[in-house]
Amino acid sequence: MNIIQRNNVHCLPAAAHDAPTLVYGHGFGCNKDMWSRVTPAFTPAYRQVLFDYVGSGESDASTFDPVRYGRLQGYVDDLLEVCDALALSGDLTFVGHSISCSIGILAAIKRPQLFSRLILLGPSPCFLNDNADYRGGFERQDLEGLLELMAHNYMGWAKQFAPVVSAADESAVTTQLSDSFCSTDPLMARTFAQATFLSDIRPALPSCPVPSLILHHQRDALVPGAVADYLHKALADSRLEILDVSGHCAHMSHPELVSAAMHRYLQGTINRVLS
Amino acid sequence: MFYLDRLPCPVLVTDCNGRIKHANNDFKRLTDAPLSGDMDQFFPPASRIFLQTHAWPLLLRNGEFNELYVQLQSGNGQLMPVMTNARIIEAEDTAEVIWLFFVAKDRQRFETELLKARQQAQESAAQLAKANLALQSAYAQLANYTVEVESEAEQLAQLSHSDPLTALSNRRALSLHVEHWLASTTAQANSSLLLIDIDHFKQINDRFGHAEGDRVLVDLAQRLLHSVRSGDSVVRYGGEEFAIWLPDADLDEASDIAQRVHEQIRTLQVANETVTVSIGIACLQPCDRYLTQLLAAADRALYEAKAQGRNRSVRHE
Repeated sequence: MNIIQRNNVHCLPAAAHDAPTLVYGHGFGCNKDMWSRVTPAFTPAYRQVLFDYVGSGESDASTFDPVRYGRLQGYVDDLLEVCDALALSGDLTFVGHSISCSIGILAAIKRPQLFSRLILLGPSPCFLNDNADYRGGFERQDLEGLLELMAHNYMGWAKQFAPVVSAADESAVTTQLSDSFCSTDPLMARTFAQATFLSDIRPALPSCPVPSLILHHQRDALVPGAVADYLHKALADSRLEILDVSGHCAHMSHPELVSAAMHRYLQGTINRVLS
Repeated sequence: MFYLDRLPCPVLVTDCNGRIKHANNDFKRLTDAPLSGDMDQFFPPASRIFLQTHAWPLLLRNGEFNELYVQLQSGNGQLMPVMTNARIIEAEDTAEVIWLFFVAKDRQRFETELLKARQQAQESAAQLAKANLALQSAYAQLANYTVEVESEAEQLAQLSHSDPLTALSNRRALSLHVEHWLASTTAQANSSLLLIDIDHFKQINDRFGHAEGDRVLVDLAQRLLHSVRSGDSVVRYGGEEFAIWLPDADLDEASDIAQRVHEQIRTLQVANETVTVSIGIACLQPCDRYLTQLLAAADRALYEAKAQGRNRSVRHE
């Protein structure tokens, strides 16, 4: 299988062949293009790798397996297979947004030698409320509501049924979300939504073997401040920075804040490694 | 913001962080809540997630989006289905977002029904696909089975080298005997073939019936077997035609065997009438070692025997 095509992998080259590498993982609902306002700040000092998880963006939808991608581990394997396909080594930083932060943490645990550090933008180890001690922010029925909203917004037919059910021109029933930026297919989006909002990686956090930078949105509609504190405590050798941003997409709404924070962290930690 | 209040739909103006700058009267009526702070407060959790994961990224990337379906939450907690359009407007050095909402109660109901119908259609499509798959696999099994049966039948037919009526070997066996001999013999060796035809056999059948004809065939077969050497092969070649393969026999030896055949048959009778045979004798030439040529030669000799008045043997020289 060609991983480069399967995951729509794109590399932005660096000036130096031994430059450190940044691998970006997109969040649920979008694709790799969400990083387009951040990457210019790291060109060409860093080699940068962007990709779409299978089921998102312009990944090869024919390789979608609902069992594999029904769990976060499927996305973890996508990330590791992309790194292996490119034979990435040396100083490697994973930059994840939202659920990709969890994916990056699990990938670092699975392959401790691969990543040097993680940059986590808007991470949450568990989006659902658990008990009085942990309030992820949402209840399980909110996920049901989200799936229903997605169904209404993806009125188009699921691709795999289209040829059976209707020979009609698919473009006639496309919606705003059919733009590959948001998703390629309603069933795949639904699978990713469930994998995202039902995941709970809290038990794995103490095993994370690499240092990390947590970038928390000050007024995040999806991640309460207490969750950022929880994560900071649970992740050894982590640094927490609060971005003065509302919403959940600072890399799109305030890319300069995100890239500045990344630069500070990378310069500090890469120098530390070098010295 | 005077014009906002005149617009015939709820309108919200926020900054690019979703903080409320203005809301028109329709919006205030719809949500029935104090207007300040983040717009998130007007959306139930599921819609908040959808806005953050889909709507905002789309808006920030494209500068606008159209016709997204979300739900607004009024002051008393009631949920209101709405379609929303939003666009980023650059104004006075700052960017702001204008949000238009269209209450979509009917549309929501239609869409819900449509979604249900779609799900049912997809389920029946899945069942159809499954049934189709089962059919295909059954068909493939059947095709395999047919091939198996056919090849078994063919094998059985090939294995069968005997004629069911007389229990003699058949034409296929004759080919095998000749092939074997050709493969194992020297170039100078001779072999011969007798082609034996019952004289006037059609009349026997016509006058006395097929059962009597069959009896003659079986009787004749026994007599032929008594006429030959141990290594020879007696074959029922066709209806009333028999062949005797005589390996390592030249024309003279073959003629002796033919004579023995005539003698053996002398006592074969149907209703007091003697049955006779005509025999063509041919020898396999060293140069043309093929069964077809041998048969053709024997056939010519047999024809000659018939022409000369039957009940005799003729050699193909």
